[in-house]
Amino acid sequence: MNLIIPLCLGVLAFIDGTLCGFRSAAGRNPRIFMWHYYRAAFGRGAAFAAVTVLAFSVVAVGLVLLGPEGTWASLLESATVLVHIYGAFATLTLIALGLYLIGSFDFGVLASVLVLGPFTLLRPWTIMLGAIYAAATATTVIATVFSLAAGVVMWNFERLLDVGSPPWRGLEGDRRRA
Amino acid sequence: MRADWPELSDLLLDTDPLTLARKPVLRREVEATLKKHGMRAAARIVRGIPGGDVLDPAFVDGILVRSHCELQRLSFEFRNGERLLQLLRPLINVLRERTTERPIRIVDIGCGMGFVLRWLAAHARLGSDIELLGCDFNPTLIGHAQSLAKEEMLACEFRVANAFTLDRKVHVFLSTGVIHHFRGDSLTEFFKSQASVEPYALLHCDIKASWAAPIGSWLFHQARMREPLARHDGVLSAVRAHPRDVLLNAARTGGRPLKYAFFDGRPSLLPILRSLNTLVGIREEIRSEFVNAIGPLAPRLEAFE
Ligand SMILES: C[S@@+](CC[C@H](N)C(=O)[O-])C[C@H]1O[C@@H](n2cnc3c(N)ncnc32)[C@H](O)[C@@H]1O
Repeated sequence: MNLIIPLCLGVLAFIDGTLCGFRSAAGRNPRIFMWHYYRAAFGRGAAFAAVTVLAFSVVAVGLVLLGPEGTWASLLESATVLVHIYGAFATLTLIALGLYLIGSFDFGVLASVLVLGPFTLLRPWTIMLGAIYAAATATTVIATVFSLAAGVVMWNFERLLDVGSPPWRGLEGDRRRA
Repeated sequence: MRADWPELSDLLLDTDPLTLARKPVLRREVEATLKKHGMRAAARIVRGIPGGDVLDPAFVDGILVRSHCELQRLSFEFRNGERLLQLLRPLINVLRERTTERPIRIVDIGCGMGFVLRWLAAHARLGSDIELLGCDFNPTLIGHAQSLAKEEMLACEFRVANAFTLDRKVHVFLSTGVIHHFRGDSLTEFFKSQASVEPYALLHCDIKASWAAPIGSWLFHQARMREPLARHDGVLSAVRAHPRDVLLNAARTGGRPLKYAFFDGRPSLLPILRSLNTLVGIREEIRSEFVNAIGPLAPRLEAFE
């Protein structure tokens, strides 16, 4: 049983969710020392992504066990499409992030301007187009629905993380330490 | 969007520069201004602000505070603290040699919630002979700047004040994202007011005017900001960014006897690579020492005039 592809897809969703955690928290806290605050935000995104990945894994196992023959193979094919598209996107993002964090002043700003900023806007479209492509090329209805469902959930990751998170932290009415 | 459109944040806050009293902002006046310019998106934002004839000041403050939180995030991503420090540290070193006055006072004009000064206080280790003072007309923003500085034990001070009428000697004026708020005569006046205080230097960092600035600004404000006013004014700021000659002209007309030059101001083929620039004003007597002090950055600084 080829588990590498689903594992890769899970890792990609996990990374994406973790970064969503950061983005959902950014711009809401005006402190200077933000390590604790962002660590919690990453953790929140990571936990959310882990639960989502787990939920999808359980459903996938259920579908394979209860569904018709060929379900596993078709899910695997769709997952392979997603891994290629999301993998390329994530690789570029992580390289830019690395450059931002360890590069010189100019490289850092460049990584932001050329990749990190534009990719934030491209992310939902990449997710959706990837999911639609995987759904369109899927060989079973189950794989089609599964791909689209994964796309819709990932598309909404950040929005879901925003729900219930205090809109502005470190200001009046919120004296908790970040 | 057009360069002569006013920024919404400037319309929503009306402070008397002398008494610092906040004046009520009349809805119909704001709406009339927006209508005159055809600013429909801004008019929608104003419609969402409660209050009758007078816009609810507490609600407006909420918008401004959230916008400044988001602006801080962008300033952090674009490393504006470091950006200023590149020039500020060598400048301070020169001032330490050339003046016996202590402390050396650095004033941030229109500091908002004080990100740049708080960042400098946290990371730059400028020394105990340096005083960082942020001024803004908005008491709510200054209140947050003060409590944030206190909470994180940062050695910087914030005041609701007109930065040009302080009762203390100012050695260096600086600002980030502020000069595009001034236009025409008030831009010339902006430099005149600073020069009259006889500082040693000015460092004003702002968006660099170019064809790419509004596009880049739109992109980053969509990607990083949530508050509609922050998004609106962010893009408008880039449209309103002063072309270099306009800025140099105003500085040289109003801000004598200081000499002026741009850092990162040269037009480039790919303006996204240097999307912010800093207008530097300096006293003639420390000009060459400052140029020497910035060392490898000197090629990015144009000739002072
Ligand atoms: C765009 S905001 C500040 C942005 C801030 N520097 C930052 O980077 O986050 C401009 C501010 O300038 C303030 N301002 C304008 N003229 C001023 C003056 N003469 N003295 C003090 N503050 C001034 C306004 O109250 C307004 O809050």
